[in-house]
Amino acid sequence: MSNKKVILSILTVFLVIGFSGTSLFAQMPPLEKYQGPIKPGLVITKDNWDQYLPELKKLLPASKLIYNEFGVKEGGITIPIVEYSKKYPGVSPAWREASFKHQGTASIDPKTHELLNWQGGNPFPHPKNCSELLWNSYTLYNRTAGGHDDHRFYATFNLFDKNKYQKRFSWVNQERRYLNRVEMPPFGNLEPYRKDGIVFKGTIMITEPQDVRGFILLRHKYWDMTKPDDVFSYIPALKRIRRLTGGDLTDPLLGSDAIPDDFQVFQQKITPEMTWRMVAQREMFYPQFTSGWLEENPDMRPKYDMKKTGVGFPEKLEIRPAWIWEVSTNNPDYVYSKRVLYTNAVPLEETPGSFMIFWGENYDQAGRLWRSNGYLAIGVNPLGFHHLFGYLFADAQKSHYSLMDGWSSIHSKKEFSEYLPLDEGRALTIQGLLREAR
Amino acid sequence: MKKKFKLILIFLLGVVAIFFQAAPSYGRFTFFDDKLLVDGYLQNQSSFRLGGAGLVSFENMFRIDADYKFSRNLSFYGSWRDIYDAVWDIRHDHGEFWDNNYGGSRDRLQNEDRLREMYGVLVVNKLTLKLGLQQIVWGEAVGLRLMDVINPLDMRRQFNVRDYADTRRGLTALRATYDIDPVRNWFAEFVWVPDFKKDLLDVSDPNPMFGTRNINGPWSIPLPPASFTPWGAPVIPVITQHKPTRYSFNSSNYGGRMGIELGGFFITLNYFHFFNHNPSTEFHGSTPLWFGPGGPSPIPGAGPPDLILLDLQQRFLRTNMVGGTFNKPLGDGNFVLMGEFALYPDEPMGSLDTSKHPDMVARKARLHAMIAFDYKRWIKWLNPDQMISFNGQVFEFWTIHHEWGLVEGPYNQKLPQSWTAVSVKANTDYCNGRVSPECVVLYDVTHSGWEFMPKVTFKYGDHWRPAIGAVIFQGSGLKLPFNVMNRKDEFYVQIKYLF
Repeated sequence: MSNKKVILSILTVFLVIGFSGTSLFAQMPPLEKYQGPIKPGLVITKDNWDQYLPELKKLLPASKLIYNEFGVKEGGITIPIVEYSKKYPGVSPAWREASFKHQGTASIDPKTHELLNWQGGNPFPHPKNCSELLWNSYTLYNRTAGGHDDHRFYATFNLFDKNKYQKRFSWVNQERRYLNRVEMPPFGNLEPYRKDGIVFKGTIMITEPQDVRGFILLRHKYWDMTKPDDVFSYIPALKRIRRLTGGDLTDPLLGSDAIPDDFQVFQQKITPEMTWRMVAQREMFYPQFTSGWLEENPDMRPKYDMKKTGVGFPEKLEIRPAWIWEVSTNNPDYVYSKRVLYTNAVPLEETPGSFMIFWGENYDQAGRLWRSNGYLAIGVNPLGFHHLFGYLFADAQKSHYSLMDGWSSIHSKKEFSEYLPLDEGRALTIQGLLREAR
Repeated sequence: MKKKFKLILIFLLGVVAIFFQAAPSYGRFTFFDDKLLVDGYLQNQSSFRLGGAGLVSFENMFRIDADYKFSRNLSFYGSWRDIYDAVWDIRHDHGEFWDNNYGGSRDRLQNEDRLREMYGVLVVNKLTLKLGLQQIVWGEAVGLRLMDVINPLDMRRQFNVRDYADTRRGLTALRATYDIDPVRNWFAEFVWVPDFKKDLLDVSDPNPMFGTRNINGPWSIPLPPASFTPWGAPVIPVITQHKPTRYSFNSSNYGGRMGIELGGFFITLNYFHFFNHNPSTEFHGSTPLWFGPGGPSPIPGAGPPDLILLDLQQRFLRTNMVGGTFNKPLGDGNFVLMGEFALYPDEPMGSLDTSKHPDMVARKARLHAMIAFDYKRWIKWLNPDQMISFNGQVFEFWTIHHEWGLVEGPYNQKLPQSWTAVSVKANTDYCNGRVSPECVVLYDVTHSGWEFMPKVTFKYGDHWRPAIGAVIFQGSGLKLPFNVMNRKDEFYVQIKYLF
């Protein structure tokens, strides 16, 4: 009799698990805290890398581990482990306020996964499932490093074959979000969104080297999940504007490992075919913030010397909770089959909370890890706006790296008032491109 | 002396290039607190003609660009180019093959020192003014020019393998662009060009008169052979060219366009009133001459004339262009459709029907049209890392109210009512953009002429950009644009150093 009861109990448990499997998948996994010997104050060097490797594997995504090993052993950089910087805000005060003000108003269409009735801020400050986490994190709507209402950003891409320098190019990147603006004027929903459903416009202007200088890319992204992006470009060899195909958003830029859909880790359009699932929540390494204005605190920008450290970028890492989740594109014609994304899991109520996706690993259609990318260093200004100082795009299959070293108008007191908010006509229109064209 | 100086200069620049190459990092030269940016390149392009002519060009080019940002609203840009083609020195053979065939073109083609562009850009609220020596480019077509007619071209040096940006001749112009509505990308543009320059084409005489030097260049378009009367008297054209005055209000070209985004289409409407960059040749009568003791004379002698002089006057005639362009992505966005339509309501053309057109110049309405697509696709076995880009274009030039006798070009080739051409281009990148192959094929359907242009560009490091390529023509007869080039197939090696 007791055996039957045991068997019945076990069966019941399995049935419960089986029927609730879908919702279990959808529930947020509990935090796995890191219990190992790596603590703030430790400095990872090439001398102790092998000693701490088993622990580093727990704290770094696999692709980031490979990159950091290169940097430490080939580039000679060291990686200080620092205290978790609770004082630096993960989002601007206006964004956090909007998130809690409109909490409970947004929802997700169960069939199309479309975000409904989003009023502003992170739509789900306490995400209950992967869908809500996705809409919190999605970089076109979230306002974190590299993705505020407006930004203007200068960067140089240094391309490496393993640790061997190949070449570089530089750009100026400007972006504007048109929906639920709360951080800088004009506030609210802007005319491109109200009239045409445009949620985002971004431009890239290449400033060097000489043979590609003057190339400009202008992207429009739409709220409509079925509407592909519009892409215009100015091509100096033709001296005219040319409309580009959507494929230009998934081809690498100028020989780098960066594709526009990988900007801010995940700028690919969310489509109805996509599916997603939670993988884990665990404590992992997160790039440390520095703060201030560059004019007053020039040391806030890491001193990267490519000649000395090659592909190694001077990082400082802190341990924070992170969501790990997967997005499957379910599109055999898309460049990737799936993305594995690492997102800041600090609660939004806490100062560093942000839902920022800080690392991503992208798999090809054969299921092999192909490209990865993410933040290496971030700076926040006294007003609570952040942008990156260092970012990496990596090709795991070819051991090829594109290291982005830059700074933003957000970091400069002078440029923050001079360039932001952006002048729409100058920065984000075809006639604006013609104005800059040479 | 000048030749030696040039050779020394090239050598020194080469040393500088190698020295800079030793430094691993690239940087533009900046001055005045990064307000003045200077960069450019050194290039050697060596071209080898197939079929026996051998090396036909050893062109060395130095280009320097400067960009000065005075403020957010005021900037200046300039571009200077220096060309020295050493082939005339390398192949100087004291009256043998090179000297006989091309020696006379040295003065015309060997050197160029030219300010290509220099203009200022002033932004005042929604108005942008660009004033100075510049290129203004309209249209969507690549490879052929339909509405890209504001600037003339310098086609004397192997222009087929060069970008139009390198062959357009800068004009002093004012370009004013007004931003009507940034949401719709709606803008209006006005262009005023008080300057005039003509197309430069190397058109020479295949039958030089006795005592004159052959002035043909390597890319000369041969003129038709001399013609004769039925009784054997030569008929010699005497050509007088009348050019519009430069920098004259009365000689100005002007026009404008409007661009707007509607329903996913980006549309422009264009108008331009301008002097043709190629002259029309008007017949103003003939003068028969008889040879006498004092030389040729108009006094009739016994028998028919010994010589006929044709009074031909070349004028650059005014014409109008009105048209538009559109582009729109289709489907999932990997396919972009584009089109360009330029109507010339009064395009000048030649006419053999002297009963209707005594001066042998007619004006007809002609539509220049193009439909094209851009398409990108994964072809993994060909390139696992990057998509292949395809571009296809169909051109149609249609003469409205066509009549007998219409001709065009230096050969008076028959101008058909419909002229059709197609082009296809494919390109991609390998090895993280270090190897970039492309191939362009143009086919003149009407005259059965081909042009085939493969090219591979290599991008190594921050400075070196070598490339190899070829241009192959196929066709027969003296017909433009490709058939007449049939024996000018070439392959070339280009080495470029960026700084």
